[in-house]
Amino acid sequence: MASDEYAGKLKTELIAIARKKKLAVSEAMTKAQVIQALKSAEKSMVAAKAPAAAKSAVKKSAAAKPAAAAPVPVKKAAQAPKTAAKPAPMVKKTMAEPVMEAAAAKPAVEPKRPAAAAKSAPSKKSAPAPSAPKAAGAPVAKTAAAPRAGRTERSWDLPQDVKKFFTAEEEADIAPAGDLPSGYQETRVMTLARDPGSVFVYWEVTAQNAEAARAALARDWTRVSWMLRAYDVTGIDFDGLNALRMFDAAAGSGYGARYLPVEPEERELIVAIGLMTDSGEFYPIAFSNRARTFRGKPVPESWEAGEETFSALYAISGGYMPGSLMEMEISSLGVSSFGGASERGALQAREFFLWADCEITVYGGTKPDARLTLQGRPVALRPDGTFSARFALPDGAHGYPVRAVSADGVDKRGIDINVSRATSIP
Amino acid sequence: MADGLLALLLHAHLPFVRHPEHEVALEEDWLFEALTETYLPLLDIFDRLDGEQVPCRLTVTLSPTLIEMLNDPLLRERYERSLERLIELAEKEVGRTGTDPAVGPLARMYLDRFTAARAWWLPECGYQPGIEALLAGAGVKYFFLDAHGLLHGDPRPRRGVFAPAVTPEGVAVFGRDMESSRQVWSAKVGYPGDPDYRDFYRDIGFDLPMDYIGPYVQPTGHRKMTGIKYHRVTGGADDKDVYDRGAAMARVRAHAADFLLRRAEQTARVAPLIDRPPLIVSPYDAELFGHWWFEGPEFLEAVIRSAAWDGVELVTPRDYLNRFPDNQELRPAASTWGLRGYSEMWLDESNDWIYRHLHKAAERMTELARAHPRAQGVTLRALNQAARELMLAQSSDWAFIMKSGSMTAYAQRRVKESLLEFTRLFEEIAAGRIDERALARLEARDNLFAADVDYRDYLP
Repeated sequence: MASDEYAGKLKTELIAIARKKKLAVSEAMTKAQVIQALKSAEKSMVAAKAPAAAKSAVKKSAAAKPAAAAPVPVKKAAQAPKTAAKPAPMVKKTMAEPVMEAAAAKPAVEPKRPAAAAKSAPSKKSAPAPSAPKAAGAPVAKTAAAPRAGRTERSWDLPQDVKKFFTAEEEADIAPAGDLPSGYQETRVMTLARDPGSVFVYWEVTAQNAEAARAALARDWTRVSWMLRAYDVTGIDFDGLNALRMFDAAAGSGYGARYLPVEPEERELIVAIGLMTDSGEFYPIAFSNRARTFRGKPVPESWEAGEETFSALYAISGGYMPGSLMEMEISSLGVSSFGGASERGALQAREFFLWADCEITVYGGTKPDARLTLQGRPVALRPDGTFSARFALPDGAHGYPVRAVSADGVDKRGIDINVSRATSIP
Repeated sequence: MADGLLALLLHAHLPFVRHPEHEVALEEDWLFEALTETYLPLLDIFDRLDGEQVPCRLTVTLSPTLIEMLNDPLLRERYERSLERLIELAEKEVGRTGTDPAVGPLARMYLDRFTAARAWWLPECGYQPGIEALLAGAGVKYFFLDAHGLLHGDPRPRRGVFAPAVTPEGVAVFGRDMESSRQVWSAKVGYPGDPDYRDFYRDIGFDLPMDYIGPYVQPTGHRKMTGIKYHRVTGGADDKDVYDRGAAMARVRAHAADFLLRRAEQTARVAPLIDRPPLIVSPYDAELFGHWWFEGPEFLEAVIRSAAWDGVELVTPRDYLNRFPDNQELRPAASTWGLRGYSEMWLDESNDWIYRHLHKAAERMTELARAHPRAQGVTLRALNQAARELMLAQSSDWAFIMKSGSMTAYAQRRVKESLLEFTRLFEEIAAGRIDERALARLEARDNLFAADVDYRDYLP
């Protein structure tokens, strides 16, 4: 036992330990004296059988950690990136690096148990880590600790969402199972809704299909790139051309997976994997299933319930509580129409908090039959010629060039919108 | 004290009638009729009395032959079949007598009796429009969603989460109340973090010397929790005080009283907004009580004991539906009760790699079922085992654990192993060369739903 562990124990426990080791201790001794006795006994043991002791020391100290690590906040702080106290958690997640905020539907915390430390050694070793989001320092998931930094945490900290019998405290060495194939030599693309702001897409294209597409485009490989094209096909019998809107995202290769940002609306999406030429011509190789994205907010007002009544019920139901999944709805519903300030004030008074973020919506209109691009990408116009596109807005400078060309190609107009964001804590 | 005492006794007995040698044995109906008309209705009534806190003292004896029959797989299966036929007939009767003012309601009464409200807990409260049609088809009468599943429903729920709604298919849906959830769940404001409660982490399995505790931890020499824990949560510090059971029980009573008081306050806030007594639905993981929150069971006991005194009536969802059968029709919103309410707990960079394989395996399972619609013998066993492996791989728990970050190696292994076993079975079945010994080993180990798996469920 590491001697610093003794300090955390009650004297009675220490005496029991010492007696087990046949040391002469008594209740009359002070705790410090008992510890002293234990330590000197340990030293003499180490001296007596140094090689064996040295060997077992490794194991023991690993095993002993959990007890010593009991104060959860310490452990968390150690894991959290240095920037945790900065506004990281408030910055809207970008798809490439989903940020896990502290909020939880079952409010609470990341599962973390001291025991996890004990077993992490064997499991890390053997875990094949198919994607390595847990790597130390990676800007992933760790911000969970931030809002609580500096607070004295209760050590209860239930792994919250974790129903737990299965995050047992100890894990035997896990032999890795065999390996799954990376793909199945077939062309497939699938779309899965993840949350109101994103969908997950994975794809695989066979070499034959890829080659056929390239040949159809009559370009060599240096002049085509892999592209995903997401089509909004809400309520539409999609024929490949009649999507309401669409946007593209780089795919990188004929095999992969990525998250795509979507508007927090209930829409139906189909995503195609294909090749795009350097002149912007897209050749879809395969289309995904039709995925329905999450609504993420109440449906627009109707006669069913008065706005005021619903707002009040929404608030009482947790719609505005920090930590509830619906916190994000405050902005999208509009403060004025949804719950009086006093109402929210009362709720917040119980537990002070603040979060803030911003996004940007670029919108406008042109002739309905014009061709329009935003940031160089084609944007489908609504029947009345209007368009809108929503972007996450991380810190930094961002340009949103809008270009429109009339249907006959004669008239051209452009508007450049430049925005910069800087977030700080006063 | 009453003047007289009454002891009611019901003696239940049937002779042992079981005829595997006949496809249909009329005498087995004795059991089926008794189940449908006596045993199950009695259980319902006891449940209801229990729910309404009516002191119900009554003795039921079951004869050994009856118990044997109730436990018998063949008779159970036959009863299920007979009940399904009866429900089918009752449905037809509702259609046939629909306009008859006298008999129509009676036909509906029978249908209701035979299809007593059945609930379904959707894994992770995961809901997507369309599921309710499957639930309705399986006879499910109600299920549960997180608050926003209902609040974001279409049209808006005019009673918020404080009353169930009903989907167009006729399945009722209850929404979780966030406030009561937080009081118990939250690590920050929840009851279980109280300094007087027993600390979960300090366990003698880690505290005591290995030469003493060794035999009770892992044979590998690694420590683990034993379940014997002497400390209380104390403050935030490392230094934990010894647990004081009396003090903890006092906190339990205070927390139970607080919980009920908050429900009463909540009721008072909601009541003016809706046209009937508000219903507060508070779902929790059962393992929270006792395992994590050591005093949880006593907390529940205290809540249950004092509820009536504090003006809170405990009901089951079914009680509620009996009392308020008419509920607003709406289509709930796709949702889960996981982190932030959608799918990010199960679809994340830590676990998204599994879906490519799970989808492929599901597709192959359908392929297998199609190719062998009437399998027998070892092929049948292999197909059923393939279905078991697929379901094991699909368990949301594994993705959850991968994301939660502890025990991830185990979760990854479970998914991979089941997928690899599935693939092996797929290939063996397709090739018509099934390794029967390997299959038997797998059946013995992964015996999930041992008798209930039927690969034909994968026939489209």
